Amino acid sequence: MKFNTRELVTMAVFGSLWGVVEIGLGSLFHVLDIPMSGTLMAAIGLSIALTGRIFLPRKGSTFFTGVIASILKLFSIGSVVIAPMIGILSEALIAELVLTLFRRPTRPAVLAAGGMGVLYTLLHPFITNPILYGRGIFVIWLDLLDRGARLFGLDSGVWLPIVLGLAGVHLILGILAGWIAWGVGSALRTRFAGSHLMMQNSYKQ
Amino acid sequence: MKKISTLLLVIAVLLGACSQAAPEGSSVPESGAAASVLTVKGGDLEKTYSVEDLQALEAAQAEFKGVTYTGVQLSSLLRDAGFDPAQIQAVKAVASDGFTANYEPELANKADTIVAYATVDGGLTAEDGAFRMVLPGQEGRLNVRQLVEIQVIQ
Repeated sequence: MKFNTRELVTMAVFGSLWGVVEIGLGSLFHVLDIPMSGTLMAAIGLSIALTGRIFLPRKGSTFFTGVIASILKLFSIGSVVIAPMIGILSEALIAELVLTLFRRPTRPAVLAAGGMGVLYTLLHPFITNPILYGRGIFVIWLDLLDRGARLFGLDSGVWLPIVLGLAGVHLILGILAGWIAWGVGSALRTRFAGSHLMMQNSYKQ
Repeated sequence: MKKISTLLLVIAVLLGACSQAAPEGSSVPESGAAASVLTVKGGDLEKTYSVEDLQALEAAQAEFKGVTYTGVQLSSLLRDAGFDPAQIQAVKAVASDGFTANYEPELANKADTIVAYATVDGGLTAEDGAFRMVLPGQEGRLNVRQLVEIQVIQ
């Protein structure tokens, strides 16, 4: 997997965009205590990364975009960054793996990558909280059920509908991110391909 | 254009669904008898406490964000309600608006984890309610205000 300078610059642009959105909007969501802010940030971030993948359909580019975004997250002032950094890396890695399975970044591949990437945020606390904060799996599970119970207006005792509901909301948000990425990425590619041809024609004249 | 409108509609519906979740802690002070009663329950056991009931138990102090609170150790309260703190799996603090925070047994049994009913300077604020959780050094969302119920999961 070797990228040329133009490809590296393209990935850096999309990675920086994801990183800047994480720092700006992510911090704002955190301060305003927006529910499911991590999930929303994952959807927005993945829509940027997947747009980049459609624009630059090279294996490994989505993960590389995530690496740049997670490095930029280090510059978030006054907030915890380790868990979000792991989150960004994991989301990018999962999206990359899904895209690799599909071989080409087709529309179903991009939608699946978005869906699986955002779905991961449901599992993220189970991975990071025990390692970073020493919290037990059972308490994280209770937190998850409480969050779902409040969201759907259910009793936290009915775990199956809550888990299925949360998974559904995460998947829909992820697929939506993929859908946006497909639209924006395709438009960008067409526009840049057109401008590239125009440039070539102007040189010929 | 139609696609964009559909997309915006779907996003609005999803965001609307998300915003139904209760915010951290409680922002709406609840007055009246219901708010000044704390229920401790789990399994077949259930006991309610007023501020006076808590004042009758051994007092403890804990500091959070520069304020020193007076209250009762959570482990003492659980013992008084008939629970064995060594046997619990988790403790859930419930605020009047439905917000919840779950604690590990180690955290619930810490000496400075208290259920506060006052500060050293006087009563709790309207935002705090009649009772609040105080866990020094822990993140804000675990320090539940407007506390109305403690559920013990055994």
